[in-house]
Amino acid sequence: LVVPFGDELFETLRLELRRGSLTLAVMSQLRDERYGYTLRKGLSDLGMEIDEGTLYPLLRRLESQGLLVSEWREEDRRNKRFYRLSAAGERVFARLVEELRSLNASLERSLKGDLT
Amino acid sequence: MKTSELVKNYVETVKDFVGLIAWGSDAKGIAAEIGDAVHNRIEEREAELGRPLKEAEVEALLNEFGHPMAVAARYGPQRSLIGPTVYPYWRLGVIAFTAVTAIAFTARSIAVLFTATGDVGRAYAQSWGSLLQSELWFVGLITVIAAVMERSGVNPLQGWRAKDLHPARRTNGRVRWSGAFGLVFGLVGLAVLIVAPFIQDQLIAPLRVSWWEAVLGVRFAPIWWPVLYLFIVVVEAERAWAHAADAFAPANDRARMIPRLLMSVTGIAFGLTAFLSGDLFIANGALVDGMRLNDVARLACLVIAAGYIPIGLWAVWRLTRPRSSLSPA
Repeated sequence: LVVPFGDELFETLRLELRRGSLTLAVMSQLRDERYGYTLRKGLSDLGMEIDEGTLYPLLRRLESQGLLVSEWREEDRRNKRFYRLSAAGERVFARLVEELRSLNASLERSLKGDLT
Repeated sequence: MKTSELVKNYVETVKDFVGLIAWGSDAKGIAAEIGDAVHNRIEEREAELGRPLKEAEVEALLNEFGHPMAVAARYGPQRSLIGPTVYPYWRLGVIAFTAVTAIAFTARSIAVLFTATGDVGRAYAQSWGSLLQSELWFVGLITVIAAVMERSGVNPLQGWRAKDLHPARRTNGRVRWSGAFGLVFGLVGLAVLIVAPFIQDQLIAPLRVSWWEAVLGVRFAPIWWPVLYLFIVVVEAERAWAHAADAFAPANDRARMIPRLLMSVTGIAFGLTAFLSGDLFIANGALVDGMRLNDVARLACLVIAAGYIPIGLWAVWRLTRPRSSLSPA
């Protein structure tokens, strides 16, 4: 069996891998209040590029799920929507972090086994 | 147009589409947020360049954001019409309907060839005319049903029981019942084919003439007996052999494929022989046009020959394919 493995396939898998951790990255940034632009910049500075077309619908979805709260405020003479984790969001975030650490540990063990 | 107007138009269009596509969403809030994001990007770019952006540059930036309809669609509750739970049922439905309509339309078109009066070509073409319409109508209907199921939370894959499963194939040396049934019917058909010539006279004695000749004014050309008839008997014998192998040696590729390969060769030989044999029927009656009947019959024989080619290719592939170490012996 020949498995096609080119740049395109790698890119698809890479995006899939990153997409899974995007929600957690956004939630981690929203432990402090931010609005869309600064949130995107913050994630970008951490090496997690995310375009507006993905970020804003994600924020909306998390808010509709009760994980975020938002409010409109004027800043620099422009109305901006500020987001932060809700109480429920903080609890879910803590559990997700725990899950991620456990998953990372398992993956590390698995990868070590493969490399030796 | 001023750059501020470009942005305003863009944001307003996004708002309109959000209202259309993502019902119930806060269109005004979403549009305001998108507008803020666009302004931030413009300011960021202007800071990099040290000057205000030109109209073309703002246009390019808005293009990067995406078409307003695409931007609005991201706020919808679900983007796919049919999700992975319902999709297998949708696909099976479409395949089954397509197969049934294909068979029905083929049979109808063949009947038209024999029964049409006047312009046969036009009648034949018309017989296929509503195929696409039927298919599209059904696909549309089943898509709507599946979409409703999807959104109403109906999950047809829930509540199944392992004991209700009926696999189409059973391997690893167990009897394959489809092969056994095929063998029984094949043997009965073969017996009828072998016996029929000898009892034909007794069967039709009361009529004193073959029924098809009496009714349609058509009789078989001499090439059928014994040449083409023998081909048919041999093909049916080989088919019964293949079914027997399916039933009793389902895991033995060699036993299953050799009769299929022989059946393919015989079937192709039958089709080509019939095609090259000139008239296959002699028509004396007024009901059937002999020339047209023979043209259609010869064409059908070519189609039959072509139909046996994939069977032969499949058998050759199964007999010659390299075996992996994981394949059963």
